[in-house]
Amino acid sequence: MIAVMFAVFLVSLVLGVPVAFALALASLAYILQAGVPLVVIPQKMYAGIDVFVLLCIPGFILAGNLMNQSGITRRIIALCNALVGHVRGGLGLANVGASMLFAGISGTAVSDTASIGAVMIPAMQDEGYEPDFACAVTACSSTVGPIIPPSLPMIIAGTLTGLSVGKLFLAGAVPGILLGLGFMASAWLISRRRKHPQQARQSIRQIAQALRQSAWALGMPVIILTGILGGFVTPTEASIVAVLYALLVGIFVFRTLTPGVIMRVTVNSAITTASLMVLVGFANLFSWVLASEQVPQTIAQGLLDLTQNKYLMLLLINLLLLLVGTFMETIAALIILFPVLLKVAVTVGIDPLQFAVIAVLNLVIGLTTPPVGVCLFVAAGIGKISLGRLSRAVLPFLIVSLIVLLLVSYVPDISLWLPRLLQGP
Amino acid sequence: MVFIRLKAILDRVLEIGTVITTAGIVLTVTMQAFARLCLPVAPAWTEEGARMCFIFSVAFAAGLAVRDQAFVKVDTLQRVLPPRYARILGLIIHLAVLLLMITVSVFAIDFIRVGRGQRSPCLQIPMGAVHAALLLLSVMISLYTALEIVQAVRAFFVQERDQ
Repeated sequence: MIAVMFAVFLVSLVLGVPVAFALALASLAYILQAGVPLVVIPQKMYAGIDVFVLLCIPGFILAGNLMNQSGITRRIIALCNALVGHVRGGLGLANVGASMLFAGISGTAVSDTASIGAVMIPAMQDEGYEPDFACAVTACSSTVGPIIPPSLPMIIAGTLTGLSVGKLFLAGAVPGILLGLGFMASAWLISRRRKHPQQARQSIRQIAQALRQSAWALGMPVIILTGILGGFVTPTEASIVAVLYALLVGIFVFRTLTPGVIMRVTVNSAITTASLMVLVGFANLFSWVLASEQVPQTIAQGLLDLTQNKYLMLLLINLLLLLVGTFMETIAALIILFPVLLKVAVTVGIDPLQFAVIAVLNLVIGLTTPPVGVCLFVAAGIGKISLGRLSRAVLPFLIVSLIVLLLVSYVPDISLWLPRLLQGP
Repeated sequence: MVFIRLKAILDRVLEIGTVITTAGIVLTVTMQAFARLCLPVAPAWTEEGARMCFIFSVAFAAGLAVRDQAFVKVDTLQRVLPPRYARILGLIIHLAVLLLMITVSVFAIDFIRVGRGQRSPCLQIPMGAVHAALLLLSVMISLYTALEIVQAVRAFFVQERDQ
């Protein structure tokens, strides 16, 4: 029965059925064969969505979209350009820097690719950068979004396992910065070899002006993190504080948010949230089917039978998650695999926070690898280049991602240092 | 013409529902944070209220997500197929999703019955009414998928005729 379920899932996925419905069709195939009452479908969907921590997701998505609509993306890009534009290939570096700052507002890679790509890809092409390089930098750098807090996959990981979302956010901060710096180094090396243009150095006054103009944007991650880490608000409350902050800044400071714009942004954000939550609901159903057939226990036992060595286990899990991440959507993969793999990881002595960062990092690498590289699709669409050409251009950046993944896997302090420093062991 | 107007009205109703429920989330969570930080006692119902607003916000927006093609999919095969076959495949996928969501809709009615005798702990709202969000969600996805099918069939025949 499980084999039929996986077959239905894989065939549906390859044919192009949306991931959420592919999970539901596969679960339905099992439920019909097993003779389970079909009311279990709405029951498990409801149970998957009816979780208070998940309310962070509409909050952070709405806050990010409101800030973006306020014109914050251009200000962040202007700041990064003022800081690093004078270096060779400076626009590429500014692109990565903007993604790192934008990550502190949005929490998703796709919105990062779309928002920054819409401005940066044409700007880079106009300056003489190759379109495939511009698209590759944009797509890859946006994967820091789900690592640097606030991070939607970390919220899901916390919801599934009861790990503190605040600590998970902190655990992702250093690896996210490391990944961003790695992308910058890679972009700089490529630009030096290809002799990409560099702009005139900006004066201190110009940099200060750019900093002043983007200060309101930089304030948002500060408020979110101070609120959560200081114990003033829960992650869900922090996301709503971020919405209120974005509304105040957009209405009274930038004066770009009108009632009509707010309504449109709210509807668009709710649509994004709904598409994620239907996925979460059906992934919860799929995961319940797997649990009832004891598939997680079988996988866990299989992995533990292969090795009890912590480092070999990390290698095995990394290979498994990289493979899964290339063809499966991040959140669905997290819901189905994270709880079971976490048990295995803890059994061999891996810290749960470190493991969460490893799992999320593995899965977001899949956002820039074919066939389910959502960020590739978005960037290729903006740059009007073929997916094949872009897939080749992302290779140097994928190597950076894999190096950071190895570092995060084998040097626990990279993810654990900050949570221990700020919140104790 | 009537069909287009009805769809526009449905879009508008769902958008308004989405905005109201999202505003509900923002208000209840803001009240919760404010009460916990500034008042001696925080109300117990805010978390429950926020979760209910959230579920209905997802239900209102789910149909619109079909309209805007917001669900993530792997469309590599559809990109490489000749346009005619890609259109046929797209139609088959819509039909599969429609059948699935009609099934979910039917059993969502049973789920409402399951919640009929229960009330939410704080707000004392009948759980059947809360469970109705799943019926709204599945019916709206079915409806918008059916609309996609109508549009796809229409486009298919127009293109076939032109060729």
